[in-house]
Formats: sequence, structure tokens, C-alpha cells
Amino acid sequence: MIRTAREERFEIGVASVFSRNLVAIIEAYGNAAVSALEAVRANPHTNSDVGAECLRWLPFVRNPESYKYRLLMLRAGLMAKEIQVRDAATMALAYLQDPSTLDAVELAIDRETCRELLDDLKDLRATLAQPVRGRIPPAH
Amino acid sequence: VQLSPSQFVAEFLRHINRSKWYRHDGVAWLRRWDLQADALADLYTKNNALSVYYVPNRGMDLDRLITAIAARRDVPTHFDYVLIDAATITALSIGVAVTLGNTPDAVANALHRDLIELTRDKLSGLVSVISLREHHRVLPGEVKARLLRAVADGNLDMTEINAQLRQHLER
Repeated sequence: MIRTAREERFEIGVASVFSRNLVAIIEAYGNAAVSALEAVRANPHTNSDVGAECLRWLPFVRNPESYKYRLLMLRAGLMAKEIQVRDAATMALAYLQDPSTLDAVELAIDRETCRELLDDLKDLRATLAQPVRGRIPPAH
Repeated sequence: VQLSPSQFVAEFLRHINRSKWYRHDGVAWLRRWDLQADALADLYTKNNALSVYYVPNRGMDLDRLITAIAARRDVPTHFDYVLIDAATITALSIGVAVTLGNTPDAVANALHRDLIELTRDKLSGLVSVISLREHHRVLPGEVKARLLRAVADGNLDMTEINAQLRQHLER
């Protein structure tokens, strides 16, 4: 799946063959699938475009069992070497708006070198620091 | 709505993936004046044409266009875009054709255009221009809120929105 994904062209918000398979596998196998995905993501030979696409779709998986594990992957994504992956993790966490990720966002703010992404992280921090009422609930 | 003079300038909107346009401050291996090669792939042409939307003025049309384009996607995630003034397109000798968009908003569809008969040099010129423009981003929460508001206002027909996006909006 990862190998064939290298040939795909991804458009933000638009499902691809890869993203459909990714969501389906996690919904079917839960944490086991996320664990396999995490190993692929951590592999330095994984294409950063594919790695970013992985993270972008994690919020849209309907599988409550794997929610915390997916959140862990997104937190780790904030510290990734590749900017595309950090960008994807930031936007996925911005969708989820889970206050438990505030510490990871603050750490990422301390390390981020890209001005535009830093602005997004600061916006996210401000959102996460707000009271929960009125915010879009996390999509488990 | 009070518009500043710059908001009356006709422009074209192109959706992008902002992370492909980041420069050296985020991409350590990139030279300070250079651009990621992936930026070229972000301007995906078909039949030598590039899909854009015409923005007669920012105040009246921009929000509606962004919402309409976001409504043809599968999930309510962030939306990145760039605005290119019409004079620049003329200066690059790029032709513009009126073609109907495929969003669930008929008003937005009428504003769809194709930048046509693109050559390597014209596309390269466009990439250079876009790299220098501001890369705007609407965050996921705002995209979702705009979509819901557009449905409530009757600008978007919920039945025209694809099933997957509808499910995410109804959650």
C-alpha cells in the first residue's frame, strides 16, 4: 500500500486510493494497524508526501479504540524532520482540537523554524487553551 | 462591507498545498532563494490547463468561493490557497477560458476558469509568481464552520455535498 502510494498524487481533503485503504485498515484492525503504520512512518525511507498523507487522514478514522494511539502518532509528527509531515500533524491536531495535546503543541512551538507553521501552531495553542464549550468536539 | 482599494482588484484563486511552497526557514536543505520542486507538481495541469476561480473582488466573493471549493472535498480539513491578480495573468500571456466549476454552489461554479494553453515557460512563470504571493490558510475548524453556515444560509445544498463530507459535517 505504501509502495504504490508513492505514485499517487494527493490533494488535501480529497480521498485517494491510499487514504481510503488507510482509513479502512485502521477501522478494521485498530491499534494493530496504527502500530504498523507508525513503523512505516518512522522508516527514514518512507516518502515524506506519503508520510504526511498518513497523518492528514488519521482524524477521519472511525475507530475509538485507536484514538489515543493515533493522537500519539500525531504528537510525534509535530517533531518530524520533514516540514510536510509537521504541517500535516499540525492540521490534523487542529481538526481534532483535543486539549490533551497542548503540551506537545507547546514543545513544537519551541522548536519550529518555519514562520508560517509557527503561526498555525500558536493559533492551535490558543484554541486548545480555551474552554471546551463551543469548540468542535474531537472526531474519534 | 467596507472595501479597501486593493480589494477591488480582480484576481484568480488557486487552491494549493502550502507545505509544498515553504521556503528555507522550514526546509533546511533548500537554498534561501530557491523553491521546492514539489511546488511545480502542486499546479497540476490537465490538457495544459489549470483550474482556478475568478474573484471579481475579495469582499463579496472570496468566502463563498473558498466554502464552495471546500464543499467538493471529502473531509472538512484546512484549505490553502493563493490569489493571483488578473493583470499578472495577462502579463504572463496566459489565456483564460470560462468553464463551469464542479462545486455544489452554482454561483461559485459560474466563477470557474481554466488557465489555458499553458507552456513550460508560462507555468514556470506562474510558479514564480505564486511563490512570491501570500499563501493563505483557512484552519479546519473555520472550514467546518463555514460549510455549516453556507448550508444554513442556503448557499450550499446538503444533498449536493458528497456523502463522506456530509457525514463529517453532521457529526
